[in-house]
Amino acid sequence: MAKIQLTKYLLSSKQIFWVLLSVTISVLPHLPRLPLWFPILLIGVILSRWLTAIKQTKPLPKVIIILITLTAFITIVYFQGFKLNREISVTILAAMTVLKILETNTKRDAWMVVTLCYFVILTRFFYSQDLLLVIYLFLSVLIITHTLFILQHDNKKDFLGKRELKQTLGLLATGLPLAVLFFLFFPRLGSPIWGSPDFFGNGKTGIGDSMSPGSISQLFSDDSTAFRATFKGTIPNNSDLYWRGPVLWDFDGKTWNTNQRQISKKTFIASNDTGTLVSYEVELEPTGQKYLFALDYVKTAPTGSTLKADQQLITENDINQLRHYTALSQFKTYNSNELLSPEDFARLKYLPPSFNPKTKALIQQWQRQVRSPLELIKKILTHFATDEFYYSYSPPLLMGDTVDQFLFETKSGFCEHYASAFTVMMRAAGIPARIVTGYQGGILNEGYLLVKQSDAHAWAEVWIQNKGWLRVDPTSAVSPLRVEQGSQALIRQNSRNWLDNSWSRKLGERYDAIRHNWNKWVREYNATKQKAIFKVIGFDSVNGRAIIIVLGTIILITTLLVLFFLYINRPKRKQSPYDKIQKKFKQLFLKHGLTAEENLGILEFSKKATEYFPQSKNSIQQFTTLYLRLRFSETENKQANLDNRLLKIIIKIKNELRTKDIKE
Amino acid sequence: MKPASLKNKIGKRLFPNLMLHKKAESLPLSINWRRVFILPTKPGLFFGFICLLMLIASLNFNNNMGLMLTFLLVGIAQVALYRVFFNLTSLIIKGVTTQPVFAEDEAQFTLHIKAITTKYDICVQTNHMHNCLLEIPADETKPLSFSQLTTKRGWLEGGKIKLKTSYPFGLFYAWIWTRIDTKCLVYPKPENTPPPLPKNEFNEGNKKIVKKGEDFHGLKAYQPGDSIRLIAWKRTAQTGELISREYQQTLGDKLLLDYAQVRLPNQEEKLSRLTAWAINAYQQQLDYCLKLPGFTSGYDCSSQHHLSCLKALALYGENNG
Repeated sequence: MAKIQLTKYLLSSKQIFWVLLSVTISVLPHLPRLPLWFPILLIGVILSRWLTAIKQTKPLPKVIIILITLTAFITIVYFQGFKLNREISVTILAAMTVLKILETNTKRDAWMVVTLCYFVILTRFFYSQDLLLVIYLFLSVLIITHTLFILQHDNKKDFLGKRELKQTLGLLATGLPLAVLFFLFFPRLGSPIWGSPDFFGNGKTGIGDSMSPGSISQLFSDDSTAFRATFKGTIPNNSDLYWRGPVLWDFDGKTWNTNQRQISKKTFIASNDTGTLVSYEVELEPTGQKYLFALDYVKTAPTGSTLKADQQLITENDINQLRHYTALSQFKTYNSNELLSPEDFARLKYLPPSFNPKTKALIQQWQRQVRSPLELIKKILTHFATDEFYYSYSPPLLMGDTVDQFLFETKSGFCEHYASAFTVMMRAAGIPARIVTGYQGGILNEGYLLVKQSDAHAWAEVWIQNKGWLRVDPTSAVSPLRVEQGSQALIRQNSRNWLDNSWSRKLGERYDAIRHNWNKWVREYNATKQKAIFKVIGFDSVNGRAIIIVLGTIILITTLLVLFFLYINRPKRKQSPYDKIQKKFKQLFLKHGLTAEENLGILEFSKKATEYFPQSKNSIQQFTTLYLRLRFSETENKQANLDNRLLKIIIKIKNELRTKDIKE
Repeated sequence: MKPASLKNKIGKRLFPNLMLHKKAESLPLSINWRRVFILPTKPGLFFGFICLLMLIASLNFNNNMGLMLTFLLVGIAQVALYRVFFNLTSLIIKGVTTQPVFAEDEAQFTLHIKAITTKYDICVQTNHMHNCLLEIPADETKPLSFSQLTTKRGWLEGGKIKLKTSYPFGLFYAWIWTRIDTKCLVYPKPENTPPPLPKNEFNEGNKKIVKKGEDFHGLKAYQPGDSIRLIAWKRTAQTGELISREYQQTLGDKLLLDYAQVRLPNQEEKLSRLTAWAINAYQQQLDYCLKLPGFTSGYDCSSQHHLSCLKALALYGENNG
């Protein structure tokens, strides 16, 4: 008896297999964010545990497990620092779960690890809630729940038993109604009680605080979504869609950087503004940075952000979650509302002294030929347009005097090359200028404007005395198509790689539309949207009483649903072929007027049948003996000719009965 | 009134169906839903705790995927709750069989349980043991045995048992209490090192010639007390039941085991020694006669004779014997 007690708590290799699978699936999506040694730890731990399981050897000694655990923790602290931030918390949680496998010897341990796996999965959703992760959610819940099932009900064979998987799947599906209804009606918080969901970041993506040759053309091959914009009215022309991002002030000869010392404003004070107003809503994908993108020029800063003097929208925390904001912009030729100090002017005219001598010489020569800054701008743009300049997303690499090289040698570049060269030329002429980065254009996709990373763009701003900032986009001189129809038009003309064709792009855009809806209805389902749903079912406010009534009703309804599903899916006995043929045999007589119970034993039934139809006595006898022999004999080959022989007799009886009917 | 009995009375009034185990029930016993208890298991409580943590974290960050995951787990728990309940109801205990044992061994009782729909992981639990059936297919009857510790000879009731299950996920467990009044016969505990069989002063005179070679007489079902050497392993392997060989030996002496002649102060010790002797005599295939006050078996060496002797020893002095 003691033996039974012991084996009850030990794990079979099938159970260990499922526990290992659960842990793997739960940490798998974390791997890219976890330290490099983590996959090695995972594989090592799984292999060693699996070996002890199939070889039935003793588990690793406690001392070694403690040593491994200590080493892991020291490594985490050494590489990630000793502070309690979310990265470390997740790494430690994942490491704990994986290391716990080493000392999972009893069912109790296994239950604990497997339940922890659910939590590890949850932490994944703090980083991203993309549509594709729904598949992951259901798959991982299926695997982990099935592990719970296997821990409870273990037949020790068939690691991937179809019948058992079907049972788990059925139970999971039965649990769905409650999940959906609770999702809709469980009260949400208006805002977090502690912390912010932006704690969990995926790293920086998209346009950043600095720009050097190549940084924007790199984005050109990236078709992932930057943001989606929904306009209240008609969508403006493509050439007006300048989505302003980081503004770059400082140039060191190669790289442009933002100006960190700036005054912020809540509102942009409009003085003598005229120009079309556009209002739109933006859904920004996580960038890991603080910039919001809006059309030039923003009138009011969206909630949760501040407007810097140079018209950058800055948020308080890094944007690590999908971000929604509404913005109001006005199209203007000159933006005169920025107050610039003398230091600002000095900074906007500054060039590193020893760099790009040829460019400086060329500008000094041109300056003598023109009378105003506007004429100089025109001359430079004409130069770009008429001379042999090319617009290319894979230009030659530039070193040293990058602008000189570009203007006089390579003459081939992407928007950042032209913007950079143009700004340097302006500054060489003593005109304050800077670079603005962001996105330009976008494509209309099922009612919203889809802006991809490949729409990233850089342009220049020039300060015109007494008028204000003037946007100059030198790219438009080289490649008017880029600005008038957007980068997607360029991509349509020349595919960027062998995978790039209109079919794959259409597919990507279609998928983005689904994601947009997913974001709208599921990912961004919140207290406000919930309130609307409560209103639909007749509760004007979401108060305690309404919540109790609704949740109580849900539990009641789902209970009835679950009972119903469990009833129709109750495990029934499978009819064997013998049962079927026996039923056929009995039906034959019942149809011909024999009154007998259908669940009578075959022998008794045959007796009654013989009494009723003495003509078929022989056939009935034949059937009964063959049936009993086939069904209960162990030596008889069971499957071969089973139906054939018995069926033949049944047909014979049928004919006999028919002839009898005719006679009568 | 003692508090315990008061509690019972209140219990009986409030939960008449839950208190059914207080008296033994007649078989076949169909498990009624009204008597089923359900509580979360320890893993179930941990699962609930993790769900709560997940709920708080997801609500705080308004993480809808997290909430989806959490509510899916709540849904699973709800289904598990009802499923575990249906996995126990409508079971039928058709009967209980037992095998006689010696005192201080464990008395084995076998429940024959029928399932209307397929049931999984049905376990029986007593104070000291736990045994499970992986599956009872629909419309089939399966044996599930439990044991009770024995301390003294006589009849032993199956007693209070718990039938329980935590299928499908081990998050909840449902159980019923019942009392089995089927009795198991408990023979006296044979004395550990009994003195050699008594040499009888008187014999009946009809000496049989001692024949050294043993005559194979036939096979019979294994009886407790049969020597292991007598087990016919080949047959046992074929049939799955313990079969032992029976030899008939012709021996000169006839052996009288007389209660009155055992020189021990205590009744139980006397019975214990007689049991040991009876077993020895049976193993050696001696014709023996057991004589107890009010019982004389007559000389024989068959297994029936042996069993009736053991039964007499077990029930000696008991009213219900």
